Formats: sequence, C-alpha cells, structure tokens
Amino acid sequence: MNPMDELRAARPAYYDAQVDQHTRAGELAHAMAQPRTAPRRRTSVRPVWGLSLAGAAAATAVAVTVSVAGTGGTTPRAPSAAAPSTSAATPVAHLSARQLLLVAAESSRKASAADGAYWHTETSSGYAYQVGTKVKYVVNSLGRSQFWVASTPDRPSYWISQNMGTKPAKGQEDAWRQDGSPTSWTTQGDKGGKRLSLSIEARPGKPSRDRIDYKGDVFDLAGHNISVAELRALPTTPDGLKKYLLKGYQGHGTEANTPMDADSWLFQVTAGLIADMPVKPATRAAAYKVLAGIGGVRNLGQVTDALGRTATGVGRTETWPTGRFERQLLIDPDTGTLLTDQFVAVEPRGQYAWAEPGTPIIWQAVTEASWTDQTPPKA
Amino acid sequence: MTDDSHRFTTMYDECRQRVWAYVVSRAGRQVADEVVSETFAIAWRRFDDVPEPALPWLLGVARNVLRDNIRAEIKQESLSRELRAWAEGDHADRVAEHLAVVRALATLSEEEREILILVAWQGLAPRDAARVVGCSQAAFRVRLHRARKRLAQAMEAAPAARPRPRVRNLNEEWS
Repeated sequence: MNPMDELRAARPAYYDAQVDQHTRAGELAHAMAQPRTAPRRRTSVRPVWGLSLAGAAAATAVAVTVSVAGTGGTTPRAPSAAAPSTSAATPVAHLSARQLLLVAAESSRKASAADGAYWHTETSSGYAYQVGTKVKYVVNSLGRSQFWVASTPDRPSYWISQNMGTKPAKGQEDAWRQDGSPTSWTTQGDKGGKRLSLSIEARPGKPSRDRIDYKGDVFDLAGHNISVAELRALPTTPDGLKKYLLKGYQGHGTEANTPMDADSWLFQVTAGLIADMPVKPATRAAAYKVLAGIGGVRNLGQVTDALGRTATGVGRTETWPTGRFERQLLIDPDTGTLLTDQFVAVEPRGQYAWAEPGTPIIWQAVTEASWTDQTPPKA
Repeated sequence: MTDDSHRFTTMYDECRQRVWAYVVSRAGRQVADEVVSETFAIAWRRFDDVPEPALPWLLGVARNVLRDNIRAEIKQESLSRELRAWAEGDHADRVAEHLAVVRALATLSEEEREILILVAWQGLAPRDAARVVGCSQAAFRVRLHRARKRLAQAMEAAPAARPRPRVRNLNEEWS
C-alpha cells in the first residue's frame, strides 16, 4: 500500500465518535453564553482565505504538469527509430509479442512445482546517471540483493542488499579519465519541479541484512503485502488474476504518487510477480497471459541483458514525467523465466534528457529464484 | 430554540469531534477539551462570519487558540505524551492495526504531521487545508509533497516493518 493510503486507513476511530452528552451540553452552553459580535464584511476576510494571483498561477502550472503526465501514458506506441540492440535473425523473431508471451505461458505451466524451506532470490540492479564536470559521461550504480523467505511464517525471513559501487558505463571510460578519474560524483535531478542533488560514490558498500517479517506478509504485490501462502493461492486463470491484481490499482505507482495508467501499472506488477515470486506454475502461466492481453507490446527479438545473458525481449512504451521510455521484459520463452526487467530511453526529458535512445536507465536482473533447503547467511 | 442556536448546534454536532481530533494531533488530549470549548465560543461570537463548510474555518480558529491561549510547555508536554501513545499503539482504536505508519507519522516535524493529517485524516481538499494553515494553495501543494516524501522515508527507515518494494520506477530513486 502506498504510504498515504496506509495513513488514510490508519485514521483513528475517535474521528467518528460521538462526544458524550455531558461535554456536549457544557460546551454548547459555554459557547452560546458569549456575546455576539457584529458581522464582519466578507471582503475583509477574503484576501486571507483567497488565492493570490501568483498562487493561482503556480497552482495552475502544477495542475498542467500532472495532466500531461497522466494522459501521455494511455496511448503507447511501439517506437520505430529507438530500437535497442536487437537482431532479426532469431527463431522467435517472426512471432508477435503476444504469441511469444503465450509460449512463455505454456512453458511456465509445464514447470514442476518445487518446494523447500526458503524461497531464495538473487537480483542485480543498475541505475544510469549522467555525471562529470569537465566532460559529461554516464556512470552505472550497481546493487545486489537477496531474498530469503521462509516457507512458513514461524521462521524469520531476510532481505540482504549490497551497494556494488558505481563505475563508468561501457564505452564511457575515456571520458571518465578526461574528467580526472573521479571516485565520487554529484548529479542533479528534478522531482516534482524541485531540483535535487544526489551524491554517488564509486566505492561499494558492505552487505546489510534486515529481517523482513511483517506478520508473515513478506511480499509486496500490487501495492499490498502478501504472504507465501496467499501467493500460492492466487488465481490460476488470466481473468481471475488480472481482476485480483487490478484491485490494488489507485491511479499511481506502487511506491510513489507518480500518476500511472492502468495498463502500465498492470504490466509492472504482473512482471514483478513473474520475476521472483513463488507462485504456482499455473498462476505464472496466467500472469504471462495477462501480459499478452495488454496492448502496445512489441517483440524486440534477441536481446542481451546487462549481465550479458541472451534473452528474447518484449517492450512497451510508457510515458513518465521525464519523457517516453520502453519497459522491456527479457525472458527465456523456453522456461518462462523472466531474466531482466528494465527501462530503456525512447524520448527522455528533464533529468534523463542526456540519454541516447536505447540506453538502459534502470534494470533489475534476476539470477536466482528457487526453493531451497539451504539456510540464509548469518549476519 | 432560536434559528441561530439551532444552526449553531447542528454545526457543533457535525464538526466538534473533528476539531477535537485536530487539536489532539497538534497538542495531545490534555489540552484538547479546553481548546475545543474556546473554539466554539469564538465561533458563536462570530457566527455571522462562519463560512460554509465550517470545518476548515473552525480548524483555523482552533489553530489560533492553540497558539495564543495554551502555554508552550504545557502543549509540548501534552503532545509528547500523545505521540508516545501513538508509538506504543496503546489507544484502543484503529491505530494499533496500522502501527508502522502511525509511528512514522509521530517522528515527523509538527508542520509535516499537521499537513498530512489535514489531508489524510480530516479529508480536506488542498484548498481548504491551505486555509487552515494560512498559506497559498500552491505553497500547500509543495509542503504536502515534501511531507509525503518524508513519511515514505520514515517508513523505509523501519525495515522490519515493511517488505521491500519489488521494482523501482523511473523518478522514484529521487525520493
């Protein structure tokens, strides 16, 4: 749940309570014993309550920004020029994205339902930033994380994450040397019209381990916390699953209030489910069919992910406040494994204006997602 | 009963508990009844000035009463007691089920907490909430944006209380 929605749900019961009769009688009597003053002219009150012209103008500007961001995402189109590195000569290239997702659904359905003491996942992630003082270039901030989720809520679950440091992106090393080979950078961003700066260090961090027991609801699916048992009981039909997932849709992203259209939202949460959640094979197959039912998805052919793995990609163009991006899912259709979920620049603006079309901006590559009887590493 | 006292009583019944809840969130229960009583006394005196809807106006009056009539040390002591109770989840109401977010709320600054409560608990539109705190609507939106972000950060700061987000989105690394 989004923090504001959680806050709304936490409204104390006393907001709706009745005041006790004794207090009510006392307060009313005290109030109405006061002398009435002559009415003030409304005009003297208005300047305080009303908006100043400057305020009105600024409020309009805010509203315009929001409506642009909100409408853009509803008409996704496959970009023709901004294709990332793809090759046409692959066995699946003749399939439509929809057919490809249905193949992945079929492969998922045939997978065996495994079991174990822990659901264990490992993910590598990366973020691209433009930096540099003498010369501009791109660096990638890398991270790794592991999830160890106990099969039953009576044992603890853990999240282990590590900052793997930041280094120049492929092909950007020369520019980095020209800049004096710095090991820390500051980059400027923009969020909601506010300029923010972010400092980035080249040095990796130590792994940090957190217990993530939250009444057993360890996973975060479609904006809600959910347990292993609930994940295993998810609907196994595309319609049922889609309906279940869309119940969490509130018009904005799952982690922020950035407006998000329903298709983009569904694409994201369904991909998240496929990527690393311990659902039944039939649910995973249904999830691929949900993806196959979303419009505007194109087949990218054979693609290499950030870890150098070859995959078949599908992509869908989305509009964000910072421009147009393609959300790409790189999958292995033969096993139904989702290898990488990434955002690639199509027509970026603002803080991503520097990105050449085809540049991955954010990626998450799953390297492990299976049941195991091993135990999580000690702190 | 005169027409005015009838209308005043209706307004009191509609808004009294909301005003009380607002004062509790700003200054705790110890001082809440006193502030509410004085707020409605002012509302009766100036009943001809009270706009419709009355709640934002009443909250604005309560805010001034709290500032002008209650000694800072007493207010501070009463508020700390209230926030401790929030953090411990020991009020017998919905708070206990939503401990993580209420705890996070209790760690924010007074200004941030007030803004979030006006929107999320009092259910005021930004325009009405801006009137309560006495700023322009545009300024209120900026403050609300900042307060939301601080709430999300405060919740993140308690890792045991919340599963990690699954997939981060564009723009969200800046929060």
